[in-house]
Amino acid sequence: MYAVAVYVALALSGTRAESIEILALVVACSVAAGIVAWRFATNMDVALRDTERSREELALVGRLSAGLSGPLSPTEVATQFLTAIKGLLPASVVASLLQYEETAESVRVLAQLGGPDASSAGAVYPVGAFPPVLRTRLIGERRSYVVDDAEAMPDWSTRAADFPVVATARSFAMLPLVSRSRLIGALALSDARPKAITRDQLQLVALLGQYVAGALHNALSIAEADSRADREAVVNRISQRIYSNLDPDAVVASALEELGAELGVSRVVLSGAGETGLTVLHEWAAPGVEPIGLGTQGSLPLSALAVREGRTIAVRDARTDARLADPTLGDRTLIDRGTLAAVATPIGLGGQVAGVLVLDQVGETRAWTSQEIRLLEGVARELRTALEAAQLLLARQRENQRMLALHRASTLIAAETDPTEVLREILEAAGTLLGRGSALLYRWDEHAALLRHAESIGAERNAPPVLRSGEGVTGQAFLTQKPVIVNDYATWEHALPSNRDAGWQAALAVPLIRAGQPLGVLTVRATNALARFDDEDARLLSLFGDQAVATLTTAELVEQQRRAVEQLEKLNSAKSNFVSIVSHEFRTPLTGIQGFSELMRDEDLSVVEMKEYAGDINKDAQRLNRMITEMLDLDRMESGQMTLNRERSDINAVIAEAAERLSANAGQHPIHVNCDPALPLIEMDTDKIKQVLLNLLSNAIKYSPDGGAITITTRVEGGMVHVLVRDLGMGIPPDSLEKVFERYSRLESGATRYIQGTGLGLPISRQIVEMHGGRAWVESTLGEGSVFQFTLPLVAVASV
Amino acid sequence: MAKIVFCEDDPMIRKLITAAMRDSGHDVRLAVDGEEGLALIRDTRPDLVFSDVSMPKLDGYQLGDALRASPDTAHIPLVFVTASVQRAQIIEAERHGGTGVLPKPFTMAELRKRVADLLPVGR
Repeated sequence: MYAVAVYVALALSGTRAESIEILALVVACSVAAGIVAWRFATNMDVALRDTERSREELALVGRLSAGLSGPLSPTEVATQFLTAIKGLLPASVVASLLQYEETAESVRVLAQLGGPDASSAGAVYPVGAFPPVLRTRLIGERRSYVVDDAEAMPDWSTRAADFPVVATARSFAMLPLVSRSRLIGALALSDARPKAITRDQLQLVALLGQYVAGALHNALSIAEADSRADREAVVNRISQRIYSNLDPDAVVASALEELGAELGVSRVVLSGAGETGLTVLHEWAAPGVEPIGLGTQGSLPLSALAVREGRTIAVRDARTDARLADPTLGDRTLIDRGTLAAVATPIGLGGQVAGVLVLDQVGETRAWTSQEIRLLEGVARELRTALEAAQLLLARQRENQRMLALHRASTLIAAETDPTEVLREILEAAGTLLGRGSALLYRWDEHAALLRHAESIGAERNAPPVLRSGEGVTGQAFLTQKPVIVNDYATWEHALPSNRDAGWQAALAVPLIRAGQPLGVLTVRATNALARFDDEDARLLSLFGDQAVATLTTAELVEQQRRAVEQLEKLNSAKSNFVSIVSHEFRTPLTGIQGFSELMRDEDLSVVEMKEYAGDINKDAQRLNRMITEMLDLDRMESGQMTLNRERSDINAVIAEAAERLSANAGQHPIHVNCDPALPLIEMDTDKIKQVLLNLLSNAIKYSPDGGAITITTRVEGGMVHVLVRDLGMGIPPDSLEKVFERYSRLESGATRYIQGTGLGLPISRQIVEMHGGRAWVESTLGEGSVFQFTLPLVAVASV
Repeated sequence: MAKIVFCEDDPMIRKLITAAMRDSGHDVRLAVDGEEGLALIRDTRPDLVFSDVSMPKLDGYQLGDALRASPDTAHIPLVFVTASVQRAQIIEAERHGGTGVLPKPFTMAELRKRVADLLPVGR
């Protein structure tokens, strides 16, 4: 017993193990079995007391080394070895040669001899299935573990329940196989009887085990190289698919599908790591398997574990894996999604974990082989490179798109005449490139001190019609007059609840500025949880903002020009109308002048008749002169060439004079004067004010064809003298109350075209009143009459 | 002796017509607006009507329409006296039953010739 312990200790110490291993290599590659046997015998002479037996053992070693000299698979090496040592052990002993797979944290049964069920060769057990003591001894310390009678050990069978060969044994030994510092596997011996294996037997088997470890190592290396070649072929195929496509979404989709189909898993899931944790970015699911769902967040426990550990994590059975019980990993366990086995590998990008690639097996457990795990890791690496390349390409494409959009916008500004259309195009371009199809434009209303919704595209139909400065991202951009980037809209202090409800996740707003003057704000938003706006986006949106400002400016100039042209056209047509109507009006007095003078020339008239006709000619000539004077007066007043001859006068006296002058031929229009006798004298141009009164009175008469009293009233009101001329005539429609004061307006109105005059009386009157610093207007009820009124300041105002 | 009605709102022109037609031997009646003119025409059934176009209450064109609409007055020659004698106004005058247009200002000779032309021969 002591000897065995010493040996095992020696065998597992570095130098010893190495020398044996070198020896094993030599043996495996050469035919010098005798030399090996000799050395073996020399080393072990203490143990080999019996010559007969030592001869047998030498023969055994010889057979073994001869058997292992050819190129063998790991399984063949294991079978050869077990066959060789079978004769050394009792027939009831079950011997298993296990291969340790470090990546997968599992052991595979390479070969098994004896026992009721010899078919367990090829089975894979997770290391977790071993009793903890065995795990520590074998994998942690690489030392042998021997149990003489398991029944003496408390709950041994319970702890080893997952590993049948171990669980049912009473005698049990596990011997590590180490080659070139690598734990290759282990030799497990078990027997249903207690103390079935002697120390001598163990000693010999352990010795042979070290010998076979080297052969097994070589065989495994060859097998691994083969499988690596296979794996690389798959990875190459996938990477070829990856690089044949420039669309990053398609790259990932095809890679996931290829990987899923190759390994026969249920799901392949790529999650992205962001500030808010992991989010499912891409997913492939086998037919009939329910996908996890793109955008799923925070419930990916295995992915979270892989990120935390920074390495690949394989789960054979999620129901019993203690690592997944950690509540901080996520609120949904793998089992909720039907996943029983899974493996996750983190994807690094630029020194950080950018995401996790996961294989799911739904409805059944799965022992992941290291080959499968390495394939997953290989694809993850390819994916990373591809994603990097795709991101660069995408950035390039986006830049191109931006340039195109900007170019398009400027072309439109040059070509399109409808500014609304251009604005929409700019919003369209900005929205498509930055706002996922949505963009808003608010204009600053200087008068109301509010931002008014001017235009929007996409889903922002319910945008608030007005915003205060500082309100929301738009108001903030206006308040600060700087671009505002908000990437946490849900928790941002200035966020609008309505936008939050509409799913805004991130927003970007830039102020619109023209020549230092704030014009408004251009805003885009994103509802995608992973969307982020950066300075580059702000710069781009500002360019669109500049385009919008240019459009608005152009639109305003065009509108100004249109209005100016319209006004000119109106004025022009009014002037030509004026010429035609004025010449028409001139012809009436001319008819009298021409007619009476013709009678005087051709008829035999009495002196009395002659004088009367000459008087008529004179009246018509005066009338003509008055019309010409009025026209010129208005022209001079409008061009500011007329000055007032102010003097202190009594307006009541002027009114009385005007009323008296018109009463003579007022006929059926009695003129009532109802003046405030206490009116003070005021500074005014008496002749011009008399002209105003004569105009208003003669209008009152002319526009009351059915007669009716005309009343003039004066009073003092708010520092002004207020003069009202009321008639009971036809009245003026509400939309013409201002128009009657416009030059030539009468001439455009069919209803009053029979009224004689130049049509300049009211415009002239208003001009005179305004030159005095007063105001002239009319109130009227159609069919009932009008009240023309004007005010004059009590204190003289400098002539305008 | 023929009956002639003049509708004219300008007192000076009315006076001129009165003077010009004093020795013509015709029965000349005057109206100060279209409404008065229509009543006078229906009342007196004149042989010829002269009418201003721009008049209060009923303008010349409305008067023309009213005359043409009634069988009693539809046949009476109607001359519009107007200062606007552009093509558009002449067409408009015809549309409203005008037999002709006498442009302002007119000479006495033109007025008398128009009267002579439009009165039935033998009257």
